Amino acid sequence: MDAGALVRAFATGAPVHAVNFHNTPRHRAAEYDRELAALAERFVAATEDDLATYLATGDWPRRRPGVVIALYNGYRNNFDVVRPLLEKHGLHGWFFVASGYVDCPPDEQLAFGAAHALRTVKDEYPDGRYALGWDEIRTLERAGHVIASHTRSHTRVALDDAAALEAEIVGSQADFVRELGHPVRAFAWLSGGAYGENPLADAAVDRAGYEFLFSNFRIQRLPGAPDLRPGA
Amino acid sequence: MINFSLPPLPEEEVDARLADMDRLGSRDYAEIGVPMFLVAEDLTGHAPRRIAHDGTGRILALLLAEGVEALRTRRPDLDADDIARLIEALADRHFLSLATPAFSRATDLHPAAEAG
Repeated sequence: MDAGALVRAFATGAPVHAVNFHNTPRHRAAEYDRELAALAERFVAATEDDLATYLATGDWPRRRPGVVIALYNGYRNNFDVVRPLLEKHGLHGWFFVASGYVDCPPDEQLAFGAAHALRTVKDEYPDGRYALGWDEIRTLERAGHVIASHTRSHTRVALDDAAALEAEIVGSQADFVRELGHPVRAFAWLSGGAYGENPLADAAVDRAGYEFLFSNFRIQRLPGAPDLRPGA
Repeated sequence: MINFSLPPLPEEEVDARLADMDRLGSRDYAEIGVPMFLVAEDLTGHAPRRIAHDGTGRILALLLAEGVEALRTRRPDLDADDIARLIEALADRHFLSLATPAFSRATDLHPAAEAG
C-alpha cells in the first residue's frame, strides 16, 4: 500500500464526502433519519453530472458541498427503509446493485446471500425476497436516485480470470441495459482496486462503458468519458 | 520559503488514535452509515490540473500523512485495511467540519452574503 501516493492524491485531487451504507434494517430507521437530516443540513446529494462537472471543469456546480450517499449490494430494505427517508430530506442515494442478486429467485436469495457475503436480517421478509426487485430499481431511478453496478454476483474474483471479470463487470452492465433500457454510469468493485492497477480489469471496465469507477479510496472518471470542458 | 515539519505525535496521542480506530472497527458495519473521504480523479486527460479550491484536499493530506507516520511507529507494514481505517477515523472526526462554508459566506451569520 503506497500511503504516500494517497497523501499526494488528496493534496492535488478533489476529496469527496461519501457515506456508505449496506443493509438498512427497519430497527435502525430512527438512526438513519437523524443522520440523513444532519447531512441534508450541510450538503447537497451529489449527482453523476455534478461529479462529472466537478472533475471536468474544476468547479463544484452546486452552492453547498456535495455528498455521495452510497447504498451497497441491492438490499430490499434500502428501498423500504432508506429511500423514504432520503426523499423526506430532499436527498438521493447511489444504489450500487449486484445485478445477479436481483435476478436470483426469492426462494434462493438467502442461500445466494450466504454464499456471496450478502448479509441478511433474519426473518426480515417472510416472503424470502431480500434483494431489490427490478421494478423497485426502476422506481428509484424515476425518483432521481442513481443506479449503479456493484458487480453481478458480489463475488471477489481473481484479477487474472478474464472470464470472471467479463461476467462481473461487463455482464452486470448487460443486466442493467436489459432491465433499464440503458447502461449505468458507475461501477464499484467488491473491495477492489482502482483503474490502472490491472489491465484485464481496466479493459473490461472500458468494454462495459462505465464512466465512474468507485474503489476503496478513489472515485475515478474514466478515460472514455466525454470532454465536458466549455467549448469542447 | 518556510520550511517546516510538525513534531511527532506524543505516544499517548498515538494510543488514543489507535483506540479510536479500534472503536470504529468494532461497530456493525453491515447496518450503519460510515462516512469516508474519497479522492476523485479525472482520467480523461482533458481535465484542469487544479480543483478543490477550498483547500480541503491539502488539509486531509496533512492529516493523513501525520496519521500514517504515527501509525507506522506501531505497525511498520501498513496495509490497505489500516489506511482505510485511518481515513475512516479522519472522516469520523472531520466529515462535518470540513463541509462548513467560509465564515464570511455562512448565510446564517451573514444573510446578505452570496454563498459560494
